[in-house]
Amino acid sequence: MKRLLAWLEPLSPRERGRGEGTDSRLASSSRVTEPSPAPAGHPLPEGEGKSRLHHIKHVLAAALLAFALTLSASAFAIDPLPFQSNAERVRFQHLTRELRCMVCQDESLLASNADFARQLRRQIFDMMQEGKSDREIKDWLVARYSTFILYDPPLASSTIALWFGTPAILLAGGIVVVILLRRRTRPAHAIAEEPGDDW
Amino acid sequence: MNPELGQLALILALLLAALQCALPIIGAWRGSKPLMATAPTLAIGQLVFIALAYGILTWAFWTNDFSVAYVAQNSNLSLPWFYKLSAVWGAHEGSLLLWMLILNVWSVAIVVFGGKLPEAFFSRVIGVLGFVSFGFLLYMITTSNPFLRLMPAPPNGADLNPVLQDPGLVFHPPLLYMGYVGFSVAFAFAIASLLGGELKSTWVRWSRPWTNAAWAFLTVGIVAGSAWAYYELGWGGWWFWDPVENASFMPWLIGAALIHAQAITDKRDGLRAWTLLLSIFAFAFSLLGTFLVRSGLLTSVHAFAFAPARGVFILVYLAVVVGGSLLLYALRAPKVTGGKSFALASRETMMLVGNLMLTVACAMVMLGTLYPLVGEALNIGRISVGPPYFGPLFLILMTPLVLALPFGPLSHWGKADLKVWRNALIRIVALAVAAGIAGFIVGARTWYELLGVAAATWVIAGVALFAIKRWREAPRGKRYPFEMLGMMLAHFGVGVFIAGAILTRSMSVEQDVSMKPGASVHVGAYDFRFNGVAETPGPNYTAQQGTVVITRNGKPVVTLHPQKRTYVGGQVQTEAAIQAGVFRDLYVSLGDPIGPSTGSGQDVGAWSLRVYDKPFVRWIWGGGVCMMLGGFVVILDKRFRLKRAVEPETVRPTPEPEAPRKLAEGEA
Repeated sequence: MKRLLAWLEPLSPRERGRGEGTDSRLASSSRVTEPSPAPAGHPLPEGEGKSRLHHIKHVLAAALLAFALTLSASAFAIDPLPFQSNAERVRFQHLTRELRCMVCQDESLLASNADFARQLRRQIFDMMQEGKSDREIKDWLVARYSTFILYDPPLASSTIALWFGTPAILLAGGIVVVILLRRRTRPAHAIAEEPGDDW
Repeated sequence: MNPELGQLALILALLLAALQCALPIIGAWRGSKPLMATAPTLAIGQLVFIALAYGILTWAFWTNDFSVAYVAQNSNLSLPWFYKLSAVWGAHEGSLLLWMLILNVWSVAIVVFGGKLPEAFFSRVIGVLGFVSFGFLLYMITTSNPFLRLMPAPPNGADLNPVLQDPGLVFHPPLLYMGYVGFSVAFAFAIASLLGGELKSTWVRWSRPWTNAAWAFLTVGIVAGSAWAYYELGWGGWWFWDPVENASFMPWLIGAALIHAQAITDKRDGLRAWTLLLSIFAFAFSLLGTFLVRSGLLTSVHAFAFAPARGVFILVYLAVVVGGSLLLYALRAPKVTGGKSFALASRETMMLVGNLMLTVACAMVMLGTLYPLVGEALNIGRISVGPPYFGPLFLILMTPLVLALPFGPLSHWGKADLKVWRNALIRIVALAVAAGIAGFIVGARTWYELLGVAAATWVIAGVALFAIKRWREAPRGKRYPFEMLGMMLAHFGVGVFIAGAILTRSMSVEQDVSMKPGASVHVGAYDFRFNGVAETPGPNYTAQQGTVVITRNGKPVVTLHPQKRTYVGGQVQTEAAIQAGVFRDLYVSLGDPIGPSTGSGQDVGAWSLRVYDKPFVRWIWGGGVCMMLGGFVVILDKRFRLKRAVEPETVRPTPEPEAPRKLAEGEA
């Protein structure tokens, strides 16, 4: 149900991301059984400042393109990787589903068809082959691309309200309900049986 | 027909909306019957002009009038005729026009069916709807005009976004809008009663059918969108916690809470202030949902800044509507709520628990959806909030609701019979455990699956026990009134949905493969053999069509034809091929060619494909459809016929300040 309502914009960055992906299938030729070397140039330069600049540029370009009426492919990623077992495949899907494609609007690394996602998927795959744990892979990604890549942002000063907001609201709501119940309820024996159909 | 006429119709509708907002409300305030009497005429007049504008835009699509910029952007000579009609709401401007059309249809429906409402109350309701309409029309005319000309007219249009060229998307936006706009009725009723200082619970009964209808439409709209994403986007997923989805889910959650709060207010006269507040918030979230998506804010804060006029208008409008409503609420809402008293173990308490969890879930979704935007705007760093945040929190919040759900219907108003609860609890626990064991025998192994099966059984067993109890205890012919039947259907739908959502998630097998013609892959219990790709023409596209033969233990099951289409505008769109079934879907979508299409070599004719075995995925939407049907069935109940509401009853102890409209011909 993605982009259900976002269809208003003829071209969202997400679509653009996908469009780019269609041109780049060479990189993902999945019959390659030997792990391909990591891409020489990283899709995002390292460091938060540069990546932010990149992002702004990307968004501006997308916004400008929105007027050009060129719709591009909304293909999704079908990216066959040579997994050795089904468990490994499931682990990979689970891991990349919780990571964000940095150059798309709001798409997981698993679903995205952008170059960035394809290359990063392969790198993650390679790291899994090297026996790295999910934790190590995530740490590597965060070091490289900042926590923006994680769909569950780690607890930090900037995310306190995000993580504790819901419990706080639940607590407040719970207190209100408890007060309401204490004030409004009567012992069961004090409540008269009502005649008639109870509906 | 001339698009400028459409423009003119919009401006006239704006003027009528201004009058519709002002005259009836002033009339109700001053007690002026002539002013109040303008309400029906103005509402009908506005509908006429909006319908005219809508018709003119549709005509422009039908006749390929590419001198209209909006048509040029969203249509094409070779677009099939039904997509030309649906292309009217294929983008921003037209979908606003559709929103307006639906709002006006709802307004006129109130004129038609609400004829027996007290005149002042009726006038205020129509006036509030006029205000909502005015804001939207002003927004449309000033920032999003669908009738702008494009000179010189291009010989052909750019084509409708191929993502939208699908039957699912033809119906999805109108259904969703029916839901969003439908909440405007409960909103208008709430504001009207706050304005009138008339805080009796009768207005709630009148607005209940409208709320149920709105929620049912919203449900089916979300279901249609989810199903569409499943087969059209090719991801095989059905919910992504994407901001755009969340935008429609928030009013749904509040709407579900509102339906139950209204029931308490209607039946027990309690929780009036809470019901008023939820009525305001259901519509506020509908506006937020519409506008979050429309403003481009979700795309990025930068995109928002890119078209500031739209964004600023939206913010101001939201602030006026929501802020104004809440201010009015703060001034006028009843300080002390009345209502019949109840015991701790009662239907009221169960409904309160449900209400609490639904509203907190809505707050959680809002927090997660808006947090990254606010973070970006305040420059505290970019944050991604996605499924690993929403999923677990939603699950936690819904657990108490699911546990309480069977015991709401099994309680009495006022106080529950604890013996009934105890007996029901024993049976429900037994059934849920039995279902878990049965699941284990069939092959469920993870805690997640087993708890999912148990939870679904918990809910469905509760509905079944309630049905049996009614059958035994209620007099024949009065066993299942429509209101109750709707409740049972919707609760049953919740159970079906739980089973679908949880089992699909844990039992699906998904595999991306690259296959040469003749190659096979084994997924789940099935073998998928790829028989190559051939080119197939379509009306406004050419498709690469794959052939995949699915067998199970050597026996043929089905042959699927996934497509990859290239539309006239150059856009590429995949069409997954799905063998749908009650217990599992087999799903194939076509990726990209990997090797050369001809010649010799290892990869000749090879393509990448995604194959899926998705058990129980239909149950997700099946559950949604049950919930929708439940919402609609409730409306059929005779209690909601207005005639009864106007009869004098105990809930309105004070005399009505104004005579009920049409009482003379209606009741005499």
